[in-house]
Amino acid sequence: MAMLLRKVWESVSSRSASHSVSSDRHIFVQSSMGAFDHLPSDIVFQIFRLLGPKEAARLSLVCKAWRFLVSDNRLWVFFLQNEPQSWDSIFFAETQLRSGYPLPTFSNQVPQLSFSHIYGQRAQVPGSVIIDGGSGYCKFGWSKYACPSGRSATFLEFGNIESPMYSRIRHFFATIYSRMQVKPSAHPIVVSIPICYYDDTESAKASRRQLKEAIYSSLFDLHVPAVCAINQATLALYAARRTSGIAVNIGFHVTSVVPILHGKVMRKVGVEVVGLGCLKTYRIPQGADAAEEY
Amino acid sequence: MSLSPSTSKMLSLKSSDGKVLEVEEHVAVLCETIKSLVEDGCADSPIPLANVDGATLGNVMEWCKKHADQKASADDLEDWDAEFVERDQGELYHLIMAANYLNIKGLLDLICQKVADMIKGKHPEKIREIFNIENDFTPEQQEQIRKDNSWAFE
Repeated sequence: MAMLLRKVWESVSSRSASHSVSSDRHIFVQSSMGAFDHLPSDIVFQIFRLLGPKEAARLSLVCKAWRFLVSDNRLWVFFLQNEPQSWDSIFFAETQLRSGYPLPTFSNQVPQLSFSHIYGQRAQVPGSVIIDGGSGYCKFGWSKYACPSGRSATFLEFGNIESPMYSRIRHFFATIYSRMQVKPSAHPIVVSIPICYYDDTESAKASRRQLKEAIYSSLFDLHVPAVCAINQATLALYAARRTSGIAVNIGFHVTSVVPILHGKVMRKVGVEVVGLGCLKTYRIPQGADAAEEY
Repeated sequence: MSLSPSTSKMLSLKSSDGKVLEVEEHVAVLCETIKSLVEDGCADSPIPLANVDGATLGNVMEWCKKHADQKASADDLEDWDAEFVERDQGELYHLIMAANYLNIKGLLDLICQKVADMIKGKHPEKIREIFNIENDFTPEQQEQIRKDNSWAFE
């Protein structure tokens, strides 16, 4: 038995010797990489990983062969996995949300992604401000953190922010920005649009449009560089890494059941609204938070 | 099977250029590749290492011997390692290939870190010089790469 194993070992080692290198995976490139020309790619990646993302990206200037190696997705997936933000969220956002509306219909249609490019873009815009203004409470924070950094009682301070009043909404955003101690012009913002005016009627549509426009104009008047305004229920679904589903949103005044298909609220299917929110249903206070968070 | 130093027997390792090195078993088994041969009972006659030349094998076993020494302190090993990797590129290259082939994680990590340190903080021109690489980009291409990766060049 020992003899047999030994024979196998000898034949394997002489076979790999005839290939002169021990690793299976090789990258063949035209130009010379200098003294480290024949290193197996997994060792080259080990060296690049030790350098960190910034130094690795700079190596693309050395020569074509190095640029080819440095652009490998495996390397940048590794760097992205070491970011504070969860890799699952990054991957979901890049594969499902990046294209904007209409969202990809089938989740298995993963486009060709360059993660070195994605890393670069994320490095340039390290995070967005997120403001989730509900009728009861407003939560605010940063996209790079998993939890809101603060909250305030909207209804006490600002009255009903769901009525599309420019001055009220502007005052609301300006106050949140000063509370976050952030200059509005410094970061893009993701803002949630409350689930109100949910019917599929002309007047509801007009009110929704008015509310959106009031949000946009007040934020752009504060010199915010970019605004992404998305329906609260859709955002909650995205946070669960889904683009289709049914969001049950237990709000302050009302509870709504919102069917969403590929990021779009299916108003034709019907948004169910129950006239009970967490303000009145004291028995399920934890549920209220769970559904509202995103 | 006991691998403790006191009962350690000698193994014969045969390099690609036919040199035979006698090494204590507890030292040689730092190479995972050799360890599995020993565990399978296939290490009685000289073990042929067709991808490692005699000089490199000697260096690798020197490292293994130091790291198999139970008495060596962490600080001592660190200093010793720092000196060990002070070699020319050809030797480093052969050591990386040997550490990879013989599956010695500690040695592979050490030399990869050494190479990373040789690259770290250097200008592309300097890196080309160190590794003897020809610049095959046009000035326009270089400008474009800088632009595409502007976040890394700030």
